[in-house]
Amino acid sequence: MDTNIPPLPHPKSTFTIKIGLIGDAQVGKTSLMVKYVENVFDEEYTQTLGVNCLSKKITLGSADIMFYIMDLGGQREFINMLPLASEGAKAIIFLFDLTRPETLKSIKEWHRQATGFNEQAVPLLVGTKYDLFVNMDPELQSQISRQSMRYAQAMDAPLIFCSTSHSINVQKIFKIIIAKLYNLTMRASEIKQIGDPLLIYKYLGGTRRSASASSDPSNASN
Amino acid sequence: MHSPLASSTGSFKRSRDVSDPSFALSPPLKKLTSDLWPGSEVSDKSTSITNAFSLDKITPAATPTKWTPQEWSSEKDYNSNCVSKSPSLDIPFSDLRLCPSVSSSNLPASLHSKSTTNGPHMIFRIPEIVEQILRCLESTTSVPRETPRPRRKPQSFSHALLMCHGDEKVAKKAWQEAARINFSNGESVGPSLYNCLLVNQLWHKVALSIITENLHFTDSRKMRKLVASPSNVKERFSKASTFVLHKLNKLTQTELEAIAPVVASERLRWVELYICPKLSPPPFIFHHSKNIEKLILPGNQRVDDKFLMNIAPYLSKLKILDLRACEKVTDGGILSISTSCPALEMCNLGRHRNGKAITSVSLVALARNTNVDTIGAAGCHVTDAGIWELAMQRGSHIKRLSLNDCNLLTNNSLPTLIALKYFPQLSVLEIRNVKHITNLRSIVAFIREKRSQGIPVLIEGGEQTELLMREAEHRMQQEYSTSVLASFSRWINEDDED
Repeated sequence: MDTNIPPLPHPKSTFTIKIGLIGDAQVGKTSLMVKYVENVFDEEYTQTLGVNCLSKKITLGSADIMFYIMDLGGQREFINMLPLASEGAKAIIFLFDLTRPETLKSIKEWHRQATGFNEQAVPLLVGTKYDLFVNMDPELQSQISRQSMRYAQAMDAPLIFCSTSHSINVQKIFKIIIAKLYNLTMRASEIKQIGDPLLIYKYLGGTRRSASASSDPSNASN
Repeated sequence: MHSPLASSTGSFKRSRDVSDPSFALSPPLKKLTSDLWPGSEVSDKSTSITNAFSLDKITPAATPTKWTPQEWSSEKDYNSNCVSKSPSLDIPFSDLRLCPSVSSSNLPASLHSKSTTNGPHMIFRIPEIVEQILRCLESTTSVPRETPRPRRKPQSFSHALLMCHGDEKVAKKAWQEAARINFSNGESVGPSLYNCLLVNQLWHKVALSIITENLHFTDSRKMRKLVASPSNVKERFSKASTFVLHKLNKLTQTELEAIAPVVASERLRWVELYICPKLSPPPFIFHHSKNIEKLILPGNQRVDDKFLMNIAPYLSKLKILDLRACEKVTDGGILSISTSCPALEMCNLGRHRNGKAITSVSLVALARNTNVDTIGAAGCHVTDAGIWELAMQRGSHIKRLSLNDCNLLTNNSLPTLIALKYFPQLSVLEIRNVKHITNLRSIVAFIREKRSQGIPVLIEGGEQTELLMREAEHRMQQEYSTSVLASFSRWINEDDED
């Protein structure tokens, strides 16, 4: 008899995931967000005043994912808004400009500050403007790549080089966040060759998850 | 002087009545009223007429008492009337008085001091307003009723623990509370309206008519007093809209029959004999009251099929019928009720003894003929087939179902029907001690679906059933988690849209 009863569908849940975008001015935080959410790239620079936010819904079979992305202006004057972007975030993406090594150096301070507000979030280290980086002096490319790998190790953060204008590795960033949050196996192969758009994630960013206990979908908000 | 002149008008007479608190007992004295309306004041005020008039322009319009035409004959009359009358509506409500404390007649009183001591405030002389005031009082007195409970008591400590989701402190408290026998009576505030009977004649009249609109007794002596009151008083009773007897075990049937003529009327809506096992409601009441909507007779040993068949034809407006623990009632009685009461919305037939007397026949009859949305059939011999028929006929309207101890029910009725969405509006389902209902997945899924829409649902399952529900819920949660993670996994491994 049991088998004859059609099962009532489980009410669909939405998993809201807040993500903070942090890094120096003009590294491309807003561009990355707009590209991911609206699939648009604008060459023109617009300074972010305070905090921008956009959300994107991914509709899947038995549940939806809602990415709620907060993008913090890179100027020092907005540092007091850092809690807005980092508190409650499930993941924090630290961005630097691959063509400006000093923006990578700033990551150390950004990371220290953001971790102060949120220790549980999964960190990601993202190098932007790969399309410009790839035309730079190979020696410089190698230096920056190695340096960013060391940073990624120290932060225990997956490392991704991306290009917003050329749509390289943009989607991957958000899939890695889900993989890390729910401890899922992602099969995309890593890219470790210097000069290529690096994609190193398999053994990074995994230690915090047990603390956040976010692998239990029952935490979801409906 | 104008004041004595006013004694010829009805309004003034009323003010005299109220000023004399002993009036309710003795007729008013026809003495001169100069102590209330001192003659000196008018002449005193004549100099300040214009001032007083501008202070209180609204007085003439706002005064509900009627003035006889001759009083308006001259402008001087009009003005002086205003002067002498206006203060009584002008004073703040905090200064209101029912009776004059000291007569101020001898004092050369100012406008204000005169007004505060000069008899009761105007509003206490206007029957319509007195009625409004007394009605507010009446709304605080409550009808005796059984204390409603939000949830049933736990059956054991482990059950309490289950109900509280493992919170031991809360569970302990709940279980202790359940173990203690609760004697709390539904009655709360004393009948404050009765004091109003003694104020004066006007108040007596108004209060009596309000009191007698709702007759409820928890004490048989009080009811005897009412029956014994002289016929001229009975004539002044309102036609009652509710008649409630709460646990009157000393009252005799003869005494109840005696009150029937007082109670019976077209206004009667609610008849209740709550746990009065030896009393049978007099058919006279039903024969003369065709608008009864609520009939509550729990724990009655005298109500039987014959009684129900006798009164059913007069209950065409009945909406609520409570026959809990009326063990003499069988399918036959319910059949006649269901064919005569198309408006019936709630019917409770729950019982501990003689459950075999109520079967699916009653259930089906109610489902086919009435507007029922709430059915109590706890301890009755209803079957799966009966529940199926109920679902087919009225499933979409059913809101509450009590089927505790209905041991003939199995997984083939409720769980299946709920899965098939036959009871979309169900909000309370009681299935305590129904041993054969073991498949609770569909019920749990139903609860989840309702909760996700923000609609509360209460399923009272008792310890065993609730344990099974908790297990089913856990299993379903796990299955869901697995399926969510699988879809996430699929997504992260899809090709990028880049």
